[in-house]
Amino acid sequence: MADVNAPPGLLEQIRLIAGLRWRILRNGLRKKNNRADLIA
Amino acid sequence: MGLFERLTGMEYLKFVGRMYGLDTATTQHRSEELLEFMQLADRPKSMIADYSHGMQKKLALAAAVIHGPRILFLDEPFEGVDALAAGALKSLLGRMTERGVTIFLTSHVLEIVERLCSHVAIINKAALSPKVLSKNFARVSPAKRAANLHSKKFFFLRRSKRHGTRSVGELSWLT
Repeated sequence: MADVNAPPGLLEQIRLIAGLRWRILRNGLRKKNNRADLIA
Repeated sequence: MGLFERLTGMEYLKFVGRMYGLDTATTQHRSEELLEFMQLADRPKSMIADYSHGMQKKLALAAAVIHGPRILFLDEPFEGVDALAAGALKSLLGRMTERGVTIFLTSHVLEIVERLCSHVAIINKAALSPKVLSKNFARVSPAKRAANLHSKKFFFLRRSKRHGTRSVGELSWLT
C-alpha cells in the first residue's frame, strides 16, 4: 500500500499552502530584481 | 513541468510529502534520501528555476514516488533528459518494479521500450493496436517493430513479479 494514511485536513492544508506561499515569496526576494519589484 | 520554481528541491519534496499525508519526520527522511539518490543533494540552496531540464525531471519523479505508490503513470519520462539523469531515472524505476510497483509509461524511443518493459502495447491513431499487443516484446518480429516505428506512440507497462524482491539498502520504504 502507498504510505498515505489520510490526506491532511482542511486546516492543515491551509497551513501548508500558507507555508508554501511564504517560501515562494521569501525565495523570490533572494533576487535583486524581485526585491525592487516588491518595493515599487 | 508544473513545479514550484521558486522553491528549493528539498522544500518542494517536503511540501508534496506533507500534502500526501506523510508525517514531518518521514517526509524529511525520504526527501533527503530521494535527493541523494537523484544526485540533487549537492545544491541545497538552488531554486528549481535554476535546475536543468534533467534535474527538474528527476525532482518531479522523486515527488511522484515520495509516498510509495503501488502504481505509477509516466508520460515520456526520458524525453529531454541527459544520459546521467536517464540512468538515475531508470535505476529508480528498476528498484520500484523489483518491489512490486506497476509502472505505465509512454515513449517513442524503441530502445527504452525494449530494455525496460515486460509488456508492450502500441497506440496507433489513438487506438490500441490489437495486432502488436504483446506480453513479451522480444517475440515481436524486428520487421514488425520497424514497421511501427514511424508516427506511432509506444505505450507499455512494466510489471514485476511480486516474489523474489531483492533487499536494497537505500530507499527501502519504496513499497
